[in-house]
Amino acid sequence: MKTGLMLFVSSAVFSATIALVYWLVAHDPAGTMLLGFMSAALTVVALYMVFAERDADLYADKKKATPAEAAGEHVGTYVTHSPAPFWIGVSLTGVVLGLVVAPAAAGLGIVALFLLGALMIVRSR
Amino acid sequence: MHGQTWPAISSTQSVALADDWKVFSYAALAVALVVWALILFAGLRFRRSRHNPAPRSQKESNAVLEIAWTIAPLLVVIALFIYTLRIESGVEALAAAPPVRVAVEGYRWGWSFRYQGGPVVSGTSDKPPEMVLPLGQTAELDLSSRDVVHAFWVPDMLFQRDATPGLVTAFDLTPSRTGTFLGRCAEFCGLNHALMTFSVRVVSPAEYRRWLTYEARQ
Amino acid sequence: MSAAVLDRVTPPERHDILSWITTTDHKRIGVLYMGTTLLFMAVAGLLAMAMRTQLAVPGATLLPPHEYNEIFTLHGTAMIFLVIAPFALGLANYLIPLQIGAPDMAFPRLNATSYWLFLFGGLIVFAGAATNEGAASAGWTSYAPLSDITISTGLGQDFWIVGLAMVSVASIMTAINFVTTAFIHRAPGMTMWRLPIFTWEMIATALLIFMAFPSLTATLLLLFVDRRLGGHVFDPAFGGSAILYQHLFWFFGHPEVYVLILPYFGIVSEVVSTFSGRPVFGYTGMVLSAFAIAGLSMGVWAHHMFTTGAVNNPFFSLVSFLIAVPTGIKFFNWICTMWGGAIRYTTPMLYALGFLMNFLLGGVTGVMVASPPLDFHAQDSYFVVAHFHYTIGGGSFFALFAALYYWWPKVYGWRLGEGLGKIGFWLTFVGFNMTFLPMFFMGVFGMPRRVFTYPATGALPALNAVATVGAYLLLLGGILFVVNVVVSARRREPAGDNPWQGYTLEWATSSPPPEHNFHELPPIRSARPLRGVEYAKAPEARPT
Repeated sequence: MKTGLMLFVSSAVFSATIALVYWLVAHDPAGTMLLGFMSAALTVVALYMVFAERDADLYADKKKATPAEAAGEHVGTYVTHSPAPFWIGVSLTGVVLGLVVAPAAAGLGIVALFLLGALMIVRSR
Repeated sequence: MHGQTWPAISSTQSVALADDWKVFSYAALAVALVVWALILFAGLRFRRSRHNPAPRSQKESNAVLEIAWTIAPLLVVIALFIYTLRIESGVEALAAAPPVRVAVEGYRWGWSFRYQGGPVVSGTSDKPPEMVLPLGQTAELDLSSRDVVHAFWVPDMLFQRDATPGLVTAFDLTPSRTGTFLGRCAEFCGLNHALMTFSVRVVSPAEYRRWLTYEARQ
Repeated sequence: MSAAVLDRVTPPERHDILSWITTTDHKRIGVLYMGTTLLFMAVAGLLAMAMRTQLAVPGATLLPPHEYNEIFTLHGTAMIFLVIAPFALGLANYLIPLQIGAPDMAFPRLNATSYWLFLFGGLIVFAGAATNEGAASAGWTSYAPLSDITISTGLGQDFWIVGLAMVSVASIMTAINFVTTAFIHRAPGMTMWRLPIFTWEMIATALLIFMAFPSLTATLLLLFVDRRLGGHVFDPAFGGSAILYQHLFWFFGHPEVYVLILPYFGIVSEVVSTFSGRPVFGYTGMVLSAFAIAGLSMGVWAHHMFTTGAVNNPFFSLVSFLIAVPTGIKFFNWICTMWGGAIRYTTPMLYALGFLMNFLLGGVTGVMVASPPLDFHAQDSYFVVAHFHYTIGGGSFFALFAALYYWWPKVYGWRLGEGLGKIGFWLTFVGFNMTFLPMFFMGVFGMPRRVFTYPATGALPALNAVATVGAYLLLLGGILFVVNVVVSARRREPAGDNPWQGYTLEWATSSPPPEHNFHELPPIRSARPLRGVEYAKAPEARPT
């Protein structure tokens, strides 16, 4: 999927360039660090895209593909319901409020998250 | 006291700043009027009606047009940038030996003005402090803050600068008009931010010297 | 997979509360997001009404200063983080899989998690109002040292920090989903360069979220460290830096405003194209300009710091001016989309036109404040307040209503009434301009922002009075929208699959779509797949 590759490679190159120019023009460590971290992150993704693109062969990228051609391939099962997201939301709320107001709530929130993780591992077997 | 209406352009620096305002306002207005006209023309002319029941074309690109409306705005903004750079360097220039120097300090919620070799004037919203300056003589203000970030703003001079704790920043004001001009804090600083006013009173140099001597005796 | 097979493997759709709490369906999550943001919008709007009422006359005593400060803090925080951004993310959640021909997002559980984090984070921010010293009151920008523990002593500020940290994480999760889904889950034949402009704008928005939100999360964490864990990162008395806070905050803060506008550029592109009966003009330019805006916007942050005297003004001024170029490209493309069309003035098209008229003024005044010397007067004044309300209010907010009217029939299967819709548009358009146009002059005349009152001299009292009247017209427009929803819900005028004769894939399925989105897909051979369907039915309609 060359477009995605081009997107991240050009973003990485652009941000590295602007970080360099900013340092040369302004000599501001704070802004340069921020731009530098940004370009490092984009470079990581761009490098991944290079490797991922080697084996990519999506029906989506074929200009004359039809749904019939792609039919029959079982790519996975879409989850339609799960209690995990709501439970994560509640637990994290407990954690952050606990950080602010009462450590006990933070502890309870973290325990809730661990329980959830354990439950998901058990159910996926 | 002058304030809350069209700024009085009462410093030499603000003449250049006012020019910047005029250039950018006219440019913005010109662009806006042209594009509004294009939008309204297209919007009205190509309404679906008995005379215009279906789109007349499905053309979706025009290379010449698209290149033109990339290059032309680019040239305009570069020209505006060069102009703005000249104005800014003029306004921010610091005189080598300014006749007046005042250390300005903002705090929650008032100002103190420490004249070099002279008096200290300070006050809060109950009795806002007044900075007296001589007409036509450059005053360097060295600005800082005692607590949070404030901003020293004199609208009639079209100028403000942040008062940042831990930082002293300097700028010049050369008053060009006598009068009393309202000053405000422009950076939100808590409860009485709205009341943190001051004034700048510009007087003749002789009057200023008299004031200095009088204040020093206080 | 045929419809018959899908119906056998898919259980029937449930409608109970538990099914909504445990849903991972992108359409339900999208509706949850959008519905929640409309509720936050009502609250934030009422906060604005309180402010405008207080400011209607100088020296009013309706709102004491501390309450006023809490109110503008919550108004700004809510409108930016809990209304305009998440509405777009919710709409994209609903639309992206439909527009690309996918059955759902790439990570359905991550998707749902982001909604609950957003909801609880937002509620935590508002819950600060119930604490000992009330909600956060240091502005949505929460500058240090004002927001530090010695000055903002109440818990409300901490609630603000942790609530927004949750919202920040939620946004990053959503961005991950958008990019992965758009890259990997497109239907056969839906190449990247056939994607609808709305989907492209959302990819650019997701990229912006990746680049900017980590800085927000870090800044919030550091602020919390200073406040509650003995840190002095931003405390000059101990060698910290107040300027550093501003760098860290605005590195996030400026890209954030492009997160607030790019999706709405996408909405306007879709609406203008459909109701002009023409393709989006300059498709390639539209896509490239979205990424040019996103990229450049990462390099302008310190134009919010022009008056500090501590940053390189020319660098940030130049890059800020440059952003006007890709934005201009979009405007010319929209005008050429209308040109030669046969424009139908439905309510969504009116709102899109209102966007074009309003955002233009917001855009050119943005170029004005990109000039540091001009900003030396305008910074932190009502001139800036007017500028950003014209872009986010006159722009995003208007496009938000265009989206509501345009995609409502797809989501619910029935339309919102056109009569009340059009009256509501005119009330909103007149009210909006009456409220915010005077503010440009208030700023030039020396009125700073974030003030609970002002002296009774000069032109300010009259200008403020006009602005308050405008605000009440806006309120009326909002009330009319709610009335329209109630009235239209009773009428339930069936909309059909494609009530507006749109071109993109979401109009190729039923209204509302089945749980797996499509029973069958048309062949995708262009950026307007449904136009291909029309031609197949009537080849003589194909233009030469």
